[in-house]
Amino acid sequence: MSNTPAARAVTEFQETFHRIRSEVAKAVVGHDEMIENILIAFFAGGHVLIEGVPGTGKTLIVRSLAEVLNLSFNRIQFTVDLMPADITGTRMVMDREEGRREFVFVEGPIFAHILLGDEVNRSTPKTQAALLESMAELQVTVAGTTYRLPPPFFVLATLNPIEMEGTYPLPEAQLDRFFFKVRLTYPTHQEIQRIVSTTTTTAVPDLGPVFERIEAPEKVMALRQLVREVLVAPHIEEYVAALIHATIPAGAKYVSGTDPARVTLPKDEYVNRYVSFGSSPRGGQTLMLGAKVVALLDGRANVSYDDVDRVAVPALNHRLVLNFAAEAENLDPATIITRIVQSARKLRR
Amino acid sequence: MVGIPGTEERLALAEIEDRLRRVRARFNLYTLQHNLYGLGTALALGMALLILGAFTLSSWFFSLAAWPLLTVLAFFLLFFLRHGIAGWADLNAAARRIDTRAGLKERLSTLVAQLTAGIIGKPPPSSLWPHLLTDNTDHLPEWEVKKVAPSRIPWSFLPFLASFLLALFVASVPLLSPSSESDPFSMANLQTVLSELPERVGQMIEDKMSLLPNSQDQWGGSSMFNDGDTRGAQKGEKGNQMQGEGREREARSLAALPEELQKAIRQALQGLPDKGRDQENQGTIPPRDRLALRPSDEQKKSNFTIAGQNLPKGKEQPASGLGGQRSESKGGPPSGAGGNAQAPDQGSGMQRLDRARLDRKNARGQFQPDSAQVPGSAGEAGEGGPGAGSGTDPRLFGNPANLGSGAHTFQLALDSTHERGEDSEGEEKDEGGVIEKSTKALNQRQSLDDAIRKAQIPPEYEEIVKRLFSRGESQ
Repeated sequence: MSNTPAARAVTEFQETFHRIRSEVAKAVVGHDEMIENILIAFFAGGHVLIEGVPGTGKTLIVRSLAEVLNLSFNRIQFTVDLMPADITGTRMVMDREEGRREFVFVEGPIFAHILLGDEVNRSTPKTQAALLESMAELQVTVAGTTYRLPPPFFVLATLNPIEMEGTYPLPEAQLDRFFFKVRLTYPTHQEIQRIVSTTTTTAVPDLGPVFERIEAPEKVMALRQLVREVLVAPHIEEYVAALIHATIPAGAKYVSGTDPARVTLPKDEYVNRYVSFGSSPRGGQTLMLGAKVVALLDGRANVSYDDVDRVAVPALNHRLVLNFAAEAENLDPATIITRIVQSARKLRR
Repeated sequence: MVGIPGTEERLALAEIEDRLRRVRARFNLYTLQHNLYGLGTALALGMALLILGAFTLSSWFFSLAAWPLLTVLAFFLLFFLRHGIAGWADLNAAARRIDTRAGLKERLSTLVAQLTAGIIGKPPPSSLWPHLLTDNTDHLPEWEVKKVAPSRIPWSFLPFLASFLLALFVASVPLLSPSSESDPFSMANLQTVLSELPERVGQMIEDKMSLLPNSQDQWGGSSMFNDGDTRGAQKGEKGNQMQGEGREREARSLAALPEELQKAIRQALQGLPDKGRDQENQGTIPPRDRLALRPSDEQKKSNFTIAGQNLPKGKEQPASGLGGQRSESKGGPPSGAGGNAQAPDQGSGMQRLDRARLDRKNARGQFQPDSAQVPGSAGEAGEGGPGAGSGTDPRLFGNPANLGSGAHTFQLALDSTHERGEDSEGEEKDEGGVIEKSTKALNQRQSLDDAIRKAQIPPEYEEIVKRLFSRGESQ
């Protein structure tokens, strides 16, 4: 590889990414693919929804990531009685030195670079909306005043799939705001063995920060900017659009009947049978940005079909609304997306 | 590289573009071949079906089936045309194919997409553009022209070849079949043709290549258009000729047999009546008259007949009539009765060509005069012109009442020409070598015929001979 500034930037990105991964791996046993997906979303500028059973290391992963990146980190445990002001912050009457009293805005826990929203589905929809609005807008409005969140802003929300009583599942519109949804699976036998042996001693994993504290936000933002510089050929854009269209079932509502491209797209049988609503255009943005990160990780300045396929499942699985037939047959959205990707390979010509 | 900023970049781009264009040319050539072979396959099969239908269907059904078939062929033409246009690769499409074949992960197609979008002379679209260019340059060895676009024959060539050979076979079956075969595509005939395919093809080629014009009369010819009246008319006209030629063919095949076998057949032949010759004699003129019609040596030389033309006096005299005798001396006086004889090398080139052509016709036995040439009727063979023939010399042909149609004249011409070849072969060289070849072939045929006629054939070969003659009769 040549020594041009562009090549150096790509190399630096690869090195940073792999260093973060290796540092996080010191604290978290296993879950390599999940950690990689979380990092892809982080560098693409998105937020991640992590679904997994309790005790699988969700909180540990996020905390380790914040420590390695040397960014500010806050954690919110979502409960039923959590209010929006508890997240965003509130105006309080404060006494000044000269004896005056005035309202001062006290920042909530959302004002951090990395925010862990634990069991986000346990809070009321109003509180969830406060969080998700700030995720989308990267700003908070309190009492008519707007406050910008410090970049980079990265939210990791966790979902507990059990104990669903008294929970408020996130509506699809709010799910759509998450870049990826990753599922933490149970660790393997060897991984559990390692977890048991490494976390029950006095030894604490020493996580070395990748960036200096002061320059970390700028460095991260520079790397995010580099991701957006990755070049994309028109046929890759077509492919991404075709994938998004392929998730929309035939005869679905709110589909333009005059779209000439739709008839040429491969439409998987499962989509028509089990999907109520397909992905939004935001899913396409996610696919493209995630594919750009994957391309940079491979040392390329361009996106390939494989990069898109690589991120298809985490990018789209929370964007498909399955019907009752799918639930009855216990179908996973990832299965349908995998089939869609396979059928869309015909477009690679 | 030292020089204008961006020179290295442009050189790299030029190299990539040059190689890409070469690969694209190969892709397009392959596409073109593939579609042409596909179209050729469809056309060959269609032609084979049409030929088959022409022989197996009635004319009404053939008309009914031919139009849909032609429509289907037109559809295939348009289909492959559209397919060819759609498959024609531009630079972007070629780059995508190369990416797929060489596993470049869309490096090249992304670069080409930027180039075709008009990046040259403009600010780079991304800070990573130089990296994309160097990345492509680094991967150049992975997509050599021969590697990603090897020169190969499209797979569609095989079906094309098969369908072409099938069409060729279907087209040649009527030509290779006996003319008496009413259905050349019957299983029995196909088996016969297939079993004797090399011999028949060889014979057909030999006949086609030969100046002797009896190829169509031996096999096929009339089979192609043997429906109804046409066949009947042709049979009527050519019946005598075919019988004679059929016997010649038999004689030729007999001559190809081993010496002992020939001897045996000759012996057997002596004990059998020559049916073909008897029929021929019964159908035309009595043997005695035929013998009488055989000209003397002097008369044989006058057998070259060219229609006289009315030319002004003093110009070249084009022809002598049937009765015009050929003089041995150049520019000699006319010696025929009313005909103006002329030496072979006299007259214009056209005249000599006409004369040679007529001789060839006579030699083939196919010469049918445009008007009945009754010997002695003045003015028919050559009219006009001071030197034109005024008719057939009655001394040459004897009693005119013994001559019926022009076919008798043909018989005379055949014998006469043949004997002339024996006597004065040197003279024929003046006719451009055409007569010489015909004469040699006839000499050979005649000698074989004579040899068979004189031969002794033992009784055990009687069956063979009978079979040969019965086949000749059926033909």
